[in-house]
Amino acid sequence: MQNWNLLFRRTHLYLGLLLIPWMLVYALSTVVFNHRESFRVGHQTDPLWRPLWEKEVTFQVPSDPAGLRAAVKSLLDENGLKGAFFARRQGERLNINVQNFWHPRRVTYDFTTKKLRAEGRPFAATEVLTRLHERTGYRQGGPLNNLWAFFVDLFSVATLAWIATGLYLWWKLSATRTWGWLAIGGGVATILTLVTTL
Amino acid sequence: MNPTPAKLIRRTHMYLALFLTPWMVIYALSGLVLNHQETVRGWYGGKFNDFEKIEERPYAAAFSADADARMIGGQVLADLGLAGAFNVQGTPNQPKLVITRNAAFTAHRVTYFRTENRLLIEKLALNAPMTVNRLHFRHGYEQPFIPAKIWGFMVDLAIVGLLFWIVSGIWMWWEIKPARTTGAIFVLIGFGAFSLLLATI
Repeated sequence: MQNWNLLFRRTHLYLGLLLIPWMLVYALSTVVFNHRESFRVGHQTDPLWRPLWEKEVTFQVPSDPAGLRAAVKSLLDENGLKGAFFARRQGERLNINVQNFWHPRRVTYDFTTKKLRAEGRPFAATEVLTRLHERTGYRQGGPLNNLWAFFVDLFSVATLAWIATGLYLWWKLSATRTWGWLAIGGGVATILTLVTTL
Repeated sequence: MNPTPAKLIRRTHMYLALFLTPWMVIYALSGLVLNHQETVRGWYGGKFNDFEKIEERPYAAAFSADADARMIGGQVLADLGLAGAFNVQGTPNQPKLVITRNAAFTAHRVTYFRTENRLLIEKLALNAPMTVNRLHFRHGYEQPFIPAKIWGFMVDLAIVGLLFWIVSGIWMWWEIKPARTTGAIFVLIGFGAFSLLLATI
């Protein structure tokens, strides 16, 4: 029994220490999301995207999604733009978002004028935080992108593990049971009231 | 007897976590859904985020010339018995206003065809992954409804909880001398991996 207790304590502790950077990111970025109006002040007159360059390019787009993705990757590589990206054709326009925590790029190709245009965003610490918060998934491939997605999974599973081991450790402290039940009951009652009235 | 500062920190760490357990469960489950969106969408055969038509009905209401889109949206929802947090797309001068009523479990989309005096009412198909995502994405104090504002406060409390768990967790780790070395290794791995990813992707 002592071994289980120690195992749960150490799992709870070491997972927490490992994931401190992600806990910080999710906490601080949520301040930005939850108080968005406060963070908009000062940015209202700034353009969101600023032109970087424009060039004439002849670009053939395959109709299938895999072919489109491969062609866009080549196009980005040729123009020195590396990183995870999403591409979508809308009529005579191809929109490509190149992800990067610090310097995301928006690239558009106009099939009528054959112009390829790249734009960047001015640096804003709050945007770096929200990009870190919002980045998920294994779609992009590549070891580093997959490592980030793995840490997102690890953080989610760790949160469930903190809850499970935390409940176990609370139950072992018999002197705290009454207040613990009140805390759990208060949280459950609050969320039930909210979800039925929102 | 007054508790010692050490005991106070430990108990606050624990009771805050016990209180916030439902929110942490939502954020954890939603994190998994978002990180595996294609797989989860596949479970629902592509109908993951679809609105289903509930009804169409005539709606004859007279709005003053200075009525803004939010005021019109709020009145339409109140007349349908759907009052609560919502967003509106469109302007009062346009022939069509799209009102999205965001409840906890699902959402209604009401399209108001002003020139035709007609409403189209649709509802988001209910499913567990979308519900946890909707609760995860809900934040802020902009909506003028008390439950929505309390939810915004709970999000702030979750932020305080996360920051307090970090600080108190580091303090509690340092108090356990046999755990210092192993703990330091985990801290270094975490910061090392995070720094690498922050600098490269």
